[in-house]
Amino acid sequence: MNEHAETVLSAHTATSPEVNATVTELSSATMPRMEVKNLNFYYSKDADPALKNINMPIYNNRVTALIGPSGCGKSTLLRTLNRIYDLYGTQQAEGEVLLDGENIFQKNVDLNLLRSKVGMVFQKPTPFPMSIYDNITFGLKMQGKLSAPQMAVRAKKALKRAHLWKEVKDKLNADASGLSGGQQQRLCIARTIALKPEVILMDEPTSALDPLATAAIEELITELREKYTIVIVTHNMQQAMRISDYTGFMYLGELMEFGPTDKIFHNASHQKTRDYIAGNFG
Amino acid sequence: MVKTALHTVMHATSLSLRPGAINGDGIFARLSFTSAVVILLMLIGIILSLIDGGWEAMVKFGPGFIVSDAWNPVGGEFGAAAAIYGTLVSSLIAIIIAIPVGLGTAIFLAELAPEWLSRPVGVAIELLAAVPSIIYGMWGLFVFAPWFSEGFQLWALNHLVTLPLIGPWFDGPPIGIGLLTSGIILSFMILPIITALTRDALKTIPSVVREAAYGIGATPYEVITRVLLPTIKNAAVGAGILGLGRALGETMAVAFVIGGANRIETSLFMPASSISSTIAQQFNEATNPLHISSLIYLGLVLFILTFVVMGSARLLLKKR
Repeated sequence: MNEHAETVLSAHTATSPEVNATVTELSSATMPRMEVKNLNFYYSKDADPALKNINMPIYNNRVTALIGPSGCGKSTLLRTLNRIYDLYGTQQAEGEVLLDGENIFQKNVDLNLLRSKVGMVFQKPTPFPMSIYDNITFGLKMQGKLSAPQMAVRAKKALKRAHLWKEVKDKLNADASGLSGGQQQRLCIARTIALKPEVILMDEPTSALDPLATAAIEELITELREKYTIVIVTHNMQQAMRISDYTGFMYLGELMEFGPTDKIFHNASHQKTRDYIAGNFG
Repeated sequence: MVKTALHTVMHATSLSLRPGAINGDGIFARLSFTSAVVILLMLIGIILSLIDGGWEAMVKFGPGFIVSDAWNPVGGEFGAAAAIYGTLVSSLIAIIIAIPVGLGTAIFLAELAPEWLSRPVGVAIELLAAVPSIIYGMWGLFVFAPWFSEGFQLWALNHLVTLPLIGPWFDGPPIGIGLLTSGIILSFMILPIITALTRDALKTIPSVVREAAYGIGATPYEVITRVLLPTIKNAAVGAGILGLGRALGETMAVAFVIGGANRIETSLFMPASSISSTIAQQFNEATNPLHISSLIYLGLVLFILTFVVMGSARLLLKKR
């Protein structure tokens, strides 16, 4: 995407074909992109469930925030959505998580494909030990679908969309570990975007960043929402309020309440939710 | 003035040491300083006594000692070239074998093996590192060498000798001992160190890095080769250097299986000698002062050789 289109996109004026596509996508926004159904999760066979009977929609082109006190299972829930927990043999999920109507817990699911559709950004920036450019194209190279020039275009787009292009365009071959924490986190977001995922999972993406970098990431999330479906775990309730459309409040492994962010923060049905938001515990 | 005086008084009462208290920090600092200096003095002392003991040979043969391959105790002609060659080649064989195998084992243990397997194997590797080198030597001579003679050398004589370039390496008597055998025994010895160090380095990589790599659809092979190994690059090179250092100086295991011949031969099957094995085998029997002096000179050469190898490896590491 060029500079012009980007400005246009953020201004919500439908003039370019790309923006038209976005508008069409937005009209289907009330459809859930993912759906969690009767989900139970166990860290080991004999342990008590870490997640108990979770049911939750994840709406298309919306930001869904998961809040709750430490240890309530919000990160665990996030980690079931791309089956990253699979890396650890002992962890098990029961129930269903649907992505575009397909259960991702099925045996024959291609995990690499699933994870390129459901990208993930972590609490701490995780740049790989390679150049900035190689970080972005790492996933693309593995998919092996794009030629080198196509990849360069895609990488530039991703970096621009993550608002990192201007800062790194002259040092694409420099080692990624030389970037600041905030830049590294935007690099990780760009790396995720480059794969054109459908859903982006973010696990407290700003908790290791200073306020300025946090503001930049929040702004980015608000923009990304027009193209992607985002699920974000956050400890920061102001952040959830600022950037999310839907909020789920989790407590002791259960989803206590789920609804539009406005309602959760101003008119929650559960006393526990109101207490947590008021800062009475957690 | 009054104010200052008052201040001093207050200082004396509230912040000074309790009467009779010992300034422990000062004593501790001096003790640790002394320990550090003692190490330095020991190092200098060793170098000086090597020079002193080897002086006679140094005067007689000069720097030409290291390029001459003569070793004739009766005729009084000594040169270090054959021993240096044996030391370098056997150590090189050792790390050529041990680095890939050690790295592979470490990757398997840290990344791929299930817990019930990686734990006992990990403990076994640590125990292997604690086996005294003379055990490796005995095992090499009595168990490995006979097997190697029949199992590999005979086969090699029939199949590898005709190969271009590397063929001559395998052209020799299939007696089981020799340069190649000592290189292989050395590789067994340094394998545990390399494995344990690289495995520990892999384990220090936070799991979130793996998750991030798997999270964008990488396969285990890609995660390991593109993300994890580059991350521990320095630690892995360091492990290789430590292994090399141990191989260069190893005495007993090599003395058993190298054959003790002061010759430079193309064939890796031929008996040879290393610096340390030569010293160990000849020191007790040496009666001629020039012979003893030459052995000490040889020791100094090993000292410098090890120092140069380790130093250049360290420089190499810094440049990355």
